[in-house]
Amino acid sequence: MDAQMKKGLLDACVLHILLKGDTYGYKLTQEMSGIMDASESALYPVLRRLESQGCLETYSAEHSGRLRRYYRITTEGVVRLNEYKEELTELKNIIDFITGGDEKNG
Amino acid sequence: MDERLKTFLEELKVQLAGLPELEKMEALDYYTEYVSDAVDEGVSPDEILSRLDSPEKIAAMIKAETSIRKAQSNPGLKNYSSVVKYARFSITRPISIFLFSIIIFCTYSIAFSLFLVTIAAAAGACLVFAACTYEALRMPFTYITGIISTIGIGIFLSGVLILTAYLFFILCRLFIRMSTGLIARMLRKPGRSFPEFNEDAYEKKANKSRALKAGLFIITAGLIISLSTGLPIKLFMIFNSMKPANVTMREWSYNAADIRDISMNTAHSHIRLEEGKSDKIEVSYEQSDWMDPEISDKDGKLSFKEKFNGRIPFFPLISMHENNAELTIRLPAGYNAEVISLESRGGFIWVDSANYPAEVRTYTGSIYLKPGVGEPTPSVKAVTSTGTIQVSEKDAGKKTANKTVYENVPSAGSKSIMDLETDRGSIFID
Repeated sequence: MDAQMKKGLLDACVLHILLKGDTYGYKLTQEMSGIMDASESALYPVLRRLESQGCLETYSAEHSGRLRRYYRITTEGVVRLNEYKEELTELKNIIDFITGGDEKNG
Repeated sequence: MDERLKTFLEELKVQLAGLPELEKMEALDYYTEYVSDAVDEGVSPDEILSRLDSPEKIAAMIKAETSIRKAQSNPGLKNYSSVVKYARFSITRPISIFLFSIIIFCTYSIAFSLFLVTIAAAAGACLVFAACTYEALRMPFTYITGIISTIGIGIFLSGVLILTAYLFFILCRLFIRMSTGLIARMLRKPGRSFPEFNEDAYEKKANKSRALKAGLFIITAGLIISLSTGLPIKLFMIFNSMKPANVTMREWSYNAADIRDISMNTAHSHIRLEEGKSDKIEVSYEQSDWMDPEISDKDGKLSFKEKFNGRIPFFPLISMHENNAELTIRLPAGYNAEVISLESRGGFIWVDSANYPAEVRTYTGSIYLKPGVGEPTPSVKAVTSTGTIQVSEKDAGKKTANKTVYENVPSAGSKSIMDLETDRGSIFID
């Protein structure tokens, strides 16, 4: 898949998962691994990017004797997710068109 | 924790070197937490390691992401055009377009002029270095310290100009960044204004501070090379019209009866013509180490020339500045020469007793004429291009567009003709 497209989709997936509730790195990775073929270590840069853009914020909470970092979606993150969704609808139409054409040819 | 997992985290720490400390810590915390969580979930170390990329790859990904973020928060030259492109599509109202184009025009003009200064300073740096090297190679090879010193001066000056160019480059960049930011803020979705990120901005930043260090290093090196041989001090003294640090007194004397014609020529030493007490013609000269005297008395003609021996760069430029060394000629009382000619490019000329017909010429120096005591006023003709003429401390002479001329021809008994001419200096007649 195109790296730039994948980047955008990763952002969308992370924001979507966070919309359901705050979560931490390992759990987020596990949820993602079911959806997209991305290496598990690739998620950190995505989280840092979204954090720097103000789409999510972090806080630490204690868990079994050590600190665990949780991620929470911000209002701006929600706005961004909705923007992605709009764009993806457009993309979906394109995909439908392309794959539909394939069927005709095949 | 398992040894292999520990090794993995240690290795990651090593690979993250070069990132800001905070950035590094956050990344390490994340992966440590991840590994601990995985272990808590009962995943085997082998399984964990196989799911993760190598520390090298992880570090590379993080570094790439960090540099992109830097570029984004720091929109520079490369992002400028994309902002402008975006601006064209987003503003539709005519008035906004009008204002916007004015702003863009102004910012572009200012940025462009700053850029031109940068280019000019950079070109100046090359030119200065080339000129100094050229001058150095014209110096006699026996005067090796002078050659080294001149090249040192060239290095120093070009270093200064390089830093000037760099300064204007920074100003230009800062200005573009500020205006880019301003334009971006005027648009509705500034976040979308920078679709292409400058991925190697992080690395470039490091290069820039290196450029600054290199410039300072060049300046220091040039300064040390040139100062160590003392040449800049000499140049400084000449420009400030101070007497050279070391002068050698040279003296000659001639029988007045043998000499009918006197011709004296100096580059930038002063010339003083006065009446002496002995019955001989006496010449004394304060010789600086970059000047050689050449004196001869063939066929009744006494001629003196101050010649440059090649030990100072840019001599024609410097010779316009008098250096307060003197050439003095003392004539016996009642001596009559056929011709006396005094000429100096940068020095002053004093004629303390105008009893002799003389031709006096300077380029930048001034001329002082004192009529002899009890003698009839001599005929004087004085011309200066840009200077003034003062007779008894009052302005005199006729001014025209490109020169001032003063003429004094007393009706009777005027015996000598003083012909005074200076280009940039002034003429003072008592």
